[in-house]
Amino acid sequence: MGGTLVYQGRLTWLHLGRPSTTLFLNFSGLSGITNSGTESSVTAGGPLCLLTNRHEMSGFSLDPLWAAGPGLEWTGMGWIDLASARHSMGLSRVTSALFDLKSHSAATTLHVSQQDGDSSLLTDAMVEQPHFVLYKWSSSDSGKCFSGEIEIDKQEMQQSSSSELRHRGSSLHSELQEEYSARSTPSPKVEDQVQKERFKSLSVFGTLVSPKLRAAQLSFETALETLIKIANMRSAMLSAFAQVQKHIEATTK
Amino acid sequence: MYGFEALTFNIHGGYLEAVVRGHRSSLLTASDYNNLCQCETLDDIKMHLSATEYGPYLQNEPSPLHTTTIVEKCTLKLVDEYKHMLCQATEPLSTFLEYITYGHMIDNVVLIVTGTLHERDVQELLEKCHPLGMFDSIASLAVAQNMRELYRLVLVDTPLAPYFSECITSEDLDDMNIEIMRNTLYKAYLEDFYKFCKKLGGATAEIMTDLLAFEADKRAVNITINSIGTELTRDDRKKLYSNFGLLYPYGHEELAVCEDVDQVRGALEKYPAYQSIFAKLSYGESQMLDKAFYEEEVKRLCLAFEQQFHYGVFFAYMRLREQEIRNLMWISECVAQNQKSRVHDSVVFIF
Repeated sequence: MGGTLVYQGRLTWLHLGRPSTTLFLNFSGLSGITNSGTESSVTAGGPLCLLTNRHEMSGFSLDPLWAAGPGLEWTGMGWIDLASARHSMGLSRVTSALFDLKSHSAATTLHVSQQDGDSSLLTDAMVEQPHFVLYKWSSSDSGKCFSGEIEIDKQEMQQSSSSELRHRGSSLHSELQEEYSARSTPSPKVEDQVQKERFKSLSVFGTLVSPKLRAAQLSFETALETLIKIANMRSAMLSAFAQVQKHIEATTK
Repeated sequence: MYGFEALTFNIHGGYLEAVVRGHRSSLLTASDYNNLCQCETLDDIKMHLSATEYGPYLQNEPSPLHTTTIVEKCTLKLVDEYKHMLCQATEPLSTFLEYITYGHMIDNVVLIVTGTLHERDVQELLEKCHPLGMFDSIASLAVAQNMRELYRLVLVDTPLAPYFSECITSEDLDDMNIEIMRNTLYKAYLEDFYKFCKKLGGATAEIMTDLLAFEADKRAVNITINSIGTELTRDDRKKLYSNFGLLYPYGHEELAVCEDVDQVRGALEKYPAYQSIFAKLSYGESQMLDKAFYEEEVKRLCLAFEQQFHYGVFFAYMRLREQEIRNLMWISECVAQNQKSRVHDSVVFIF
């Protein structure tokens, strides 16, 4: 049976046929994600809980994305910071005419892999989901990537979602931000190398560039990371939805 | 003899001083900027500017406008005014007016050399050059492989030739060497301009030495802040500072060893002239430093018009127009990117 998506305040309930099989999808605070399966756009982001038969609860949290919500504005900030750098350094110093056309390897690459669906949700793990991994600041000399993978895996999301259920409140987002930043803090040696790679990529505009240009670079870097997180979250949501659909079809048969 | 310029200045410089004072009165006012800051689109900006002296330069531009188009057309107006003054000027005013453009010439040389290093098309680079800094053989810069060739093939016949004595090496041109070349050339240019103004004497020397000293100090601070965290050594950094200005030599000694913005603040707060600049900033902040320096510069440039019979008004007018073009560029970018809340971050009112 098909389902109807009902928005009520911050709760979205997906009623699927029989009342005994009610899935509660709780979205709050996430903007910009379109779930093509439901033909609705998700306008809020919070804990996403999937209850099947009201006995099984597993879920993954959108709260890291809620914490990264302001990060969606980083792209706009990057452009205005770039304009500020052009204002400070001069139009002839920050211009597309200075981009290096010599062949060189990309400083940052995106890898897409197919992962199996989360087996903790349902027994059927046949649903694949694309998984995006960003390799930032690869050294063109050594081929090494210094900042490693940027991803939110299911396990982290589940851990954080279970901690959220216990610790709801206004301090939740700041806790998650601290947790995430602590997890993602690189070692000093890696940080030095990353800084060197950052300076190297800005050297097309000269070696003595304004701090505003560096701020623009950081803004765009953060925007890129946020986009990858959003892509992975969306992929996970679509995969979970597909799994739930399959399970419901299997149980109704 | 200082104080007696009124007897003889108007013979050769009277007409052009009147012209430049007329141009000065057409600079945009605070109410013009308030109107511009409230525009919703670039076409609104064009409509407001059509009532100013920029009107004839923008009226034929088709929609949709780009910020680069607005900047380009406003710069064209400045270039036309400058060329009119230059062709009417006699010595030594004509040499003085040429000196004003050497900074743009240096920027254009560095743009062409850097772009060539990055395998860009020369025609594309020439389109991005500042019109005030163009010279005949500029396109030939693309063939040079190192600084010696740069000098021998092209720059020996340009006004920048004397400034190359400290730059000539056989090292290949790379990003660091080009940056050092840029700053070394600019240092030599400022010092030469300073000596020329001092030689002119009178009110011109008094006013221009103050303005150029401020320019040298501002460059020293920018070089220091921009080189924090880079591979530029302390000795190399110190070599890029000009040998004049309020900060020379003791301020330069302190700036050369600065590792962050707060140390730069500590070095400059000892000078009363720069205390007021850093008083506007909080600790660790460097984003608003540019605006603070521009505001101080505009204040000094406006004061140049309070006195007559000197060449400083020409320099002040050119710099004030460039500031106005920067303001228009910033307002246009904020409007185009829908970031009007940031518009007052970088606009410096002139009047």
